[in-house]
Amino acid sequence: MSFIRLEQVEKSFGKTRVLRGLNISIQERELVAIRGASGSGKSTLLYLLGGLDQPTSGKVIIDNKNLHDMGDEGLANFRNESVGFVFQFHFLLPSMTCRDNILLPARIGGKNLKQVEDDTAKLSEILGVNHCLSKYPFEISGGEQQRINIIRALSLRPKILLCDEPTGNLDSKNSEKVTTLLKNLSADFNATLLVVTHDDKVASHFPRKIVIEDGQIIG
Amino acid sequence: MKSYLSILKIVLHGRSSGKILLATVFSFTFSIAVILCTFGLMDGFDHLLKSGLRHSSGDILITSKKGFFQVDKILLKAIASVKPLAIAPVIQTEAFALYQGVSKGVLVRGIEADNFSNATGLNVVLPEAGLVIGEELAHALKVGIGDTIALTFGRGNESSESLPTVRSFQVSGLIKHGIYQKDLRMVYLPKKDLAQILDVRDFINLLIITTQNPAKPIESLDIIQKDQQKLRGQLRQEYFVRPFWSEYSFLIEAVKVEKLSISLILQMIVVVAVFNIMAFVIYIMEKKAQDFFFLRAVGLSLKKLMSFWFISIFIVWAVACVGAHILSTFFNWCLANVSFFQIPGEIYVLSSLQIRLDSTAYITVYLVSLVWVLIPGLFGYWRLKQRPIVQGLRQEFS
Repeated sequence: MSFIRLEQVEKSFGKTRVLRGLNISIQERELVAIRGASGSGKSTLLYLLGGLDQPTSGKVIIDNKNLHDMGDEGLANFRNESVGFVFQFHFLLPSMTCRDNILLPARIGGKNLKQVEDDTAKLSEILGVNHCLSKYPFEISGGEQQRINIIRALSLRPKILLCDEPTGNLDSKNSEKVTTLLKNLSADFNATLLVVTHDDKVASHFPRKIVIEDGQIIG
Repeated sequence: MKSYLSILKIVLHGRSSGKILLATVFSFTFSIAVILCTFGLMDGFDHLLKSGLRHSSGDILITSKKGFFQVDKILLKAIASVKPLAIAPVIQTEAFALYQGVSKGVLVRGIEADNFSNATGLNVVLPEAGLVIGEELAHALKVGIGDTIALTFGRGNESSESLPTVRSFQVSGLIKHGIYQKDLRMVYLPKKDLAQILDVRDFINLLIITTQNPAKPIESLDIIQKDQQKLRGQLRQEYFVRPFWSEYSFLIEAVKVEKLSISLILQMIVVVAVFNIMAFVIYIMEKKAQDFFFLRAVGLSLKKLMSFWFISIFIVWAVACVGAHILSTFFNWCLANVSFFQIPGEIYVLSSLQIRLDSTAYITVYLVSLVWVLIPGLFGYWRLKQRPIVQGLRQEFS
């Protein structure tokens, strides 16, 4: 049985059909790139997988649970515990230090902060951003901000890591670094990695690619 | 709690957010305080007026169409039907008080000090050949305790009826009814002294009756009104039976009507404060929308968001209520101690004002303000709930 399953998923915004009857199966710990041109529906697909939105019709089943049946509280828990988001805009909250930004999902979920703090301290050491933890986001570089963002996404050891154009704002050198980092960390955390990108170079790093065009899978 | 503080920190991040929140809380505090003070002043006015009147008139006053009358068995029997707590026979007449060339028209009352104190709750101590005058009168005549003043009565003695009777008395005490006009006009003498001066023997021209404990504030006038009507029914046509407020009934009625109309007008003040809160809510919604949608994306449920939202509103309301209580207490202190806040008694009847609020008034004002503050709160929550997370993220991040 697949870990992630999409069955005849349709998504429309008003009269615009963004996704047209998608059927996708993804295994646990699989590394997948979702590629497509701007407006093809790849980000919409990612949001459906992350429980940020609901399909107009069809089913999104993750770990044998239909997201549609979860309700707001269930979906919020799902997003908090099972999903890590890495957005193109890292969106670290300026009112908090990097440490507090990292601990934000844990605080919202009412998790044991000590445990999360220990885990993220190790991770920040590995990623070389230990010195950034007590600083505010505006005090560190763009690359460091993105790494803090990734640590936050992984802070609660999610089963799925969803990345929406994570390298969109980076140059090619840093882009490759971040892609490799995401792959390695997903493997370390036993997470299923789905990366939305329009960049063929980034997509080439992944063993499986889903290509979307006009809301349909073409490859 | 920690998640609440985290969200609060995000909401309040930035100097402008904190300042706007402070201004909002202050305006709400001020609005509630204005309402509390206005109600308190009206209740205080009502209370002081009633207690001041009771201090001079007991609960029910009986006078006779003939002028002077005797307390006979028939009268006592009728009075017994209302179960009086105390009865005070009084002789009262008008006179002039003279002191060092200054004269003032006064109402002289001849009383039996103990009976009068029991009937009115006003502690009058009258030594032999002494008299007690109102504080404002003492002020107007510049008289102090121990000074001797002259009283001139309209009617002379048998040998010189056309001339006034002049008697000197030593001021043995000052008294305060709380009603400016009474404090300016009242003079108390022992009843037997005044009876001798007026030569009325055991006749009186006023009988004060108390049916309710004078030490306790009167909550409802209905009971006294019933007693008055009962007594009026029992007594012969020659008597007038009036309740203590008859002298100033127009003021009591005016306060009642004013309270109702002002309470409606005061809602406008709250509405202005609610607009401020609404402005703050909209400001936060616009400025912190990114943050809220991001928090929703990483697992903040609508339920938690609602808790945060309404706890915050409740805290704003609670802080405003405490602040309003402090402000109204301070205003009450100012009324009692700062000369700027003293009112001219000749215009406002009372010598001074005070804020008087019972628990019902507090509860009413606080609950109504809570309802008002919940309206923008619900509006804010509804706005947050309306926009799906994705739509919010897309709009805010684009």
